[in-house]
Amino acid sequence: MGIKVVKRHGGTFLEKMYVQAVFGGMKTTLKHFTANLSDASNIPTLCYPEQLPTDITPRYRGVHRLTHRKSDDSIACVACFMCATACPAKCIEIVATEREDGVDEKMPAIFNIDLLACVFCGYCVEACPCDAIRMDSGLYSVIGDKREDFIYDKAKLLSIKGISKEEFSLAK
Amino acid sequence: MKIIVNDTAVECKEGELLIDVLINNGIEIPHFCYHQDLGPDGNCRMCMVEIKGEKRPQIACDTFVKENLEVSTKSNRINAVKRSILEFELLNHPVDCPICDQAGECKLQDYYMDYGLYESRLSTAKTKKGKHIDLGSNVMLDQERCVLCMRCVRFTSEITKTGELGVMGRGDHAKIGVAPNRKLNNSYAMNVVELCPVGALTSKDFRFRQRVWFLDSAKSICHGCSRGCNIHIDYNETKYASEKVYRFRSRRNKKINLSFLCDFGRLSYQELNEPFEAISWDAQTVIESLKADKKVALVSPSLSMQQLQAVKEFSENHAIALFSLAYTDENFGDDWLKTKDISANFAGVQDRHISTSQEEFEKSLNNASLVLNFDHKFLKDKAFADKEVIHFSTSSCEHGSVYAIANFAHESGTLINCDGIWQDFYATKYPCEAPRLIELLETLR
Repeated sequence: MGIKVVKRHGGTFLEKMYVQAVFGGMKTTLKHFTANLSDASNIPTLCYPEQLPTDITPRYRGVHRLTHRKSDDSIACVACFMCATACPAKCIEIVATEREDGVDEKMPAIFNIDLLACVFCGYCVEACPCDAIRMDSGLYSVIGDKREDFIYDKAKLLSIKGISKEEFSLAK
Repeated sequence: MKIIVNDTAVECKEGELLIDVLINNGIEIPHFCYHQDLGPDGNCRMCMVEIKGEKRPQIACDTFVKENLEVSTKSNRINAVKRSILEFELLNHPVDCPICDQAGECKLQDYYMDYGLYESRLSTAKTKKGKHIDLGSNVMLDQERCVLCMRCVRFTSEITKTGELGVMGRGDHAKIGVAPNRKLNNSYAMNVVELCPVGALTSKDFRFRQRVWFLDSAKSICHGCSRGCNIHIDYNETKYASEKVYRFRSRRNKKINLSFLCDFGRLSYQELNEPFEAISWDAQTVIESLKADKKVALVSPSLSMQQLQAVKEFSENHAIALFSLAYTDENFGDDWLKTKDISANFAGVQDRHISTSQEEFEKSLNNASLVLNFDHKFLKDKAFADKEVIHFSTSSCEHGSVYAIANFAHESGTLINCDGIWQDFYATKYPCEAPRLIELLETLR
C-alpha cells in the first residue's frame, strides 16, 4: 500500500487573509437571496402542517401496521416474538394465545407498540417471518395528549392502511 | 484407558459407550434418539463418527470404547454424512418454527445451523400429518415435526411401562400416536415433552406462554416430596410483566431422578406465582407479642437446613416450644420417584433434633397463648379464639397476622432427601418482594 501525498491548501499569504474565501461564500448567498427575493414561489419550503409532504414513499419508515391474510382478512401475525426479540428499544409487548378458528395455531392476544419508546429502526419489519408487521403506513406524525395515546394496540395497528401496492401479507 | 478424539487423548473406562464419553467430555456430538437415561436405539443415525480402521462411518451410540480408538467427529467427510441425514430428517418437516414452542431449544434448529444450511431438494408436496393433537396429561402432539427418534415411545414402554405411545404407519407416513380412544395417562407423562428433541411433543401448560430464549434458569430442588428431584426453575421478568416462574425442567442427577420428574412436581411451580395477602413487616409488634408467657412454634418440614437452624436458634433464645409435623400422603407415593413423605426436608428436621411428636405439640398448643407458624400447612386455616397466631408464610393463611416470606424460588439453601443425600438449591436472580425468613429472624434477636 503506497502513500498518496496530498497538497495542503491554504498556505499562501492570500489564502491566509481569508478575504477571497469570504467573498466567494457571500457570492453564493447573495445569488440565492436575490433569486428567492425576485421569485418566492420557487422556494423549496413547506408550510407544515397546512401543506403536507408529497414525497413519502412506501419505503419510508412510518408508524407500524399489522397486515391481514389475503385468504380471510384475519390477522397475519402468529405471535412468534421475532419482532420483540429484535427490537432494540423493547417497545413491543406481545401476549400469545391459542388461535381457535383453525386458520393457524397461534396468534397474539395482546400486541402493543409503545411509539414513545420506538426508535423506528425497522428491525421488527426485517425480523418478521410472516410479513405481518410493516412500516409502510406513510404516517410520519403521531399525536396524542396522554402517554397512553402513543401505545398502539392490536386493533389500532390492524386498522392502519398501507400506502404500498401490497395490502395483504405476502407470507405463504 | 484412553481413546483419541479429534487428535486429542480422552480418558474413559472400559465398557463405556463412545457417545457417553463424548457427551461427558463436552465434545459436540449431534444426536436425536440417544438419551443418557434411555440408552441407545440407533435409529436416528445422527451421531455418526469416523473411526480409524473402519470402512464406513459408525454410530457413536452403539460403539463401545477400545484402547487407543481413533475417532473423528468433525472431518469434512463426516459433516457431509450428517448433512445428508439431517436433510432426510427434515424432508417433510413443516418448518413452522414461528409457532413452535421448541424453537430456541430445538435440536433440529441447532443441527441445521451447525451442519445443514442446504436448500430443500423436495420436488413433491410435503406429507401432511396430524397437528396439535391433545394426547392427554398436558401433552400436545404435532406429528409433522416429529423425527421418529422414539424417545417418547421408549419412555412409556421401558420406564413407566404403560406403553401408551407407539409408531403407526411406514416410511413417510410413520407417525407417533396413541391407540384410538386411548390417552396418554400416567403420572410421569410430561417427561416425554422434555425428552422430545424437537417440537413434536409440547406441554399444554407451557404452550405459547413464553419464548424459551427469554427465560432465565436457576438450579433448584423440587419441594413436592422428599425425593428431592433436581430441577431447573425457568423464570423471567420483562419490561411488561413482573417476575414469574414459567416451568420446572428436570436437571440430570444420576443418583436421584436421572432426567425425569413426576407431573405433580413439574406443575408445582404454579403455587410460586400465586399472590396472597400479607401485612408489612413490623419487628416491634412481633417483639411485643413475643413477651407472651407460653409460646409454641410449628415449623414446616419443607424449609431448608439454614432456615430450620435459624428457627431453632430463635426458638431457643425466646423460650418457644418448637415442633415440626410431617406431611404424609399415603396415596402420593409410588415405587419410583414419588414418596409418601410430601415434605422436602423431613430428614433435615430430624437432623436438627426438632420434636415431631403430634401429641406433645397438641399439648403445648392447648396451653400456649402465642402460636408462631413457620409456613406449616397444618395451621394455615386454623382459627384459635384465645390465642394470638403469627404466620411467616409463603402462601395465603385464613386467620392471624400473616407476614410474607420468600418462597424457595427466592431462597438458597440445603435440603436432605429421603435417602439422606444433602443437596443445595439456588435462588433466582431477581429480588423477592417478600423478605427472607432468616433476615426477619435476625431483626427479632
